[in-house]
Amino acid sequence: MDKSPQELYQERLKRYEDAQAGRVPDRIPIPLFTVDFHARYAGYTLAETVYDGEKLSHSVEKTVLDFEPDCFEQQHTRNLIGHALDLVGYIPEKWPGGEIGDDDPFQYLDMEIMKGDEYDELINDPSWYFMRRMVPRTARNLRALEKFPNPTAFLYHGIVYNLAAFGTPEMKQAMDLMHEVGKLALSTIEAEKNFIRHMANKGFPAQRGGAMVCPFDAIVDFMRGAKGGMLDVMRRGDKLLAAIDAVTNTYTKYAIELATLQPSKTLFIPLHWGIDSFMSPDQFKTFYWPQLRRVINMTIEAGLTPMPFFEGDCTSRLEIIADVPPGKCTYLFESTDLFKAKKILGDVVCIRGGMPASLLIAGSVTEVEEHTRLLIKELGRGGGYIIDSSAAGIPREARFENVRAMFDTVKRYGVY
Amino acid sequence: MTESDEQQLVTFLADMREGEALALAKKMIDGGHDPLRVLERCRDAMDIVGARYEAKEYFLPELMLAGEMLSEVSALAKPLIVTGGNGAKLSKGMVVIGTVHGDLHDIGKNIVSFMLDISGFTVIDLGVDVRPATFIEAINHNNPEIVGLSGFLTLAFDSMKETIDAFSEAGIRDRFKIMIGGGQMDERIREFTGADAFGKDAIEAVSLCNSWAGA
Repeated sequence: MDKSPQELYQERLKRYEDAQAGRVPDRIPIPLFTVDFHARYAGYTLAETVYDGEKLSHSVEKTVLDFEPDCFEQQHTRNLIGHALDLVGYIPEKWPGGEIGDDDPFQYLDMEIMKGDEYDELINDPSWYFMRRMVPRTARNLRALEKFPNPTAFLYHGIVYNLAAFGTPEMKQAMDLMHEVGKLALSTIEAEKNFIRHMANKGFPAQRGGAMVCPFDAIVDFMRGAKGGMLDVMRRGDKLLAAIDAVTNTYTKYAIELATLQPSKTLFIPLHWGIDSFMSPDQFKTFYWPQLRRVINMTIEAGLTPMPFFEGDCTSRLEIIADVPPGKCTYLFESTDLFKAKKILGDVVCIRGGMPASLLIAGSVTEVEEHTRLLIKELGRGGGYIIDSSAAGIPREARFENVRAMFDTVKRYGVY
Repeated sequence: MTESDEQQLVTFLADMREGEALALAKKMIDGGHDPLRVLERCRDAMDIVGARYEAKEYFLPELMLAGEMLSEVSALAKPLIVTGGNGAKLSKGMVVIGTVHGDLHDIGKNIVSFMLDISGFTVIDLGVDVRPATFIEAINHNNPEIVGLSGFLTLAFDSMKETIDAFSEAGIRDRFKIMIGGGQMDERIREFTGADAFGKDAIEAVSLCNSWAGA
């Protein structure tokens, strides 16, 4: 007797949530976490899935239906943004079909956008700083916003004369453009909602709700750049710390609020700068972990499951990052030693990852099967484990038969 | 007096005391100290920084600051050097390095370039998104002992393989050693691309180059 899609949906969701809470599910869950694998799998260029909603939906649906994962990564708000990025003229990123090749992936460019002497401006009024410094410097066609008035001046008759900034032709052009981009964004968000509902009706839950970056990375990746950010650690650590607090109280709080409105209660938090070879244990304990832990705690208090993605190798951090409420977090790892992580973190967090990108891309089916069985045996013990590829999901270049082998092996041998 | 100034400069630079290091370097140069000797002491300090990085006492923030201090002192000293050398030690060898075609990431490559530079290698950095033909041109022009291919994205696996295949087709593959680098690299990808060795970080890159240079 076949189960209905609704029964399968509940079964898969329970499997995923049991593992996330550190419990023993009926089987090790296997998500379909992709960034762009689905495009290649369904025979599209990346540009097609970045500019064409139907092709994007088709590629994700085909991949989900073929592999039957326990949950899947929704793609619209992540991928279907080519037209909108073209319109705003976003400077620090290249995307498929826009200035780079149709099959070249999204790439963020490391650059200094915020200047080193602007910390006080950011700390004192983060929202205004973003509006009149960050937006005009990152969006070529929104430069007029550098004249955006400080909204705190909209008092009494200030409500009139402080709107003068909006009376110029340049500002009108920018406002009109924001309206156009806003319409595109609305339709993308709507398309994603519909797609999630559509896939739920077919029995497949979404793997996450929101996504956001942690405060240190927000500043170093997206504002100061690698060189500026690393120099700030040395030259103006106190300002950097104050800015991290300011960003946590504004951006992070807001991102968490938005995430609570999503159907899936998992919040994805990719991490870049905390890895072993980038900063010292002392720097990690000063600039990175306390603030990240605060974000994790804020996320948990909002009723969500934080899923930080520890990129790179974070093996030396395992003892430090164990300091979170048990059964509330999923830690996704890239090249950290997961067998060590299981020993140190196994009772505290759900561990996710384990399948190296190199194996899916350049290994054989037999090697993938053997490695999957090793992961099941060593990491699956006692529950609290979700198998996944280690490079922000399944890499685009993965051999299809290897991905198939990973899924089949988990479903056959990953049963508790 | 000048001897101790030189020692003091090395200490300030190696200990990340930027303000004191720059003030002292300025005082030395303004006071007529041989600018070449000032640059040589910078090199000594960079040796210490490199050693501390390898010993995991220093990390990226310290490396970046060391690089900044080096350029700041060089900017003071170099205009005063009339003839002769540039304060560099005899090179251990030449490395041509670049991020392979399709990949625009350069943070890791820049750190490797910097570490190789302060470790005594001559580095020709071709930048990011480097096509095989550009590598081949630079190799033919510079005749390096070592070629470094950098990549952050998984697409770099294919690009590295294509680049090394292109070296073979051009008949130059055996003229130098090839190392591939990036967080995703492992033995499987080394074999897949046909490189001689892989490294996950700048320390491994320096150690590979040292072993090939017989240092």
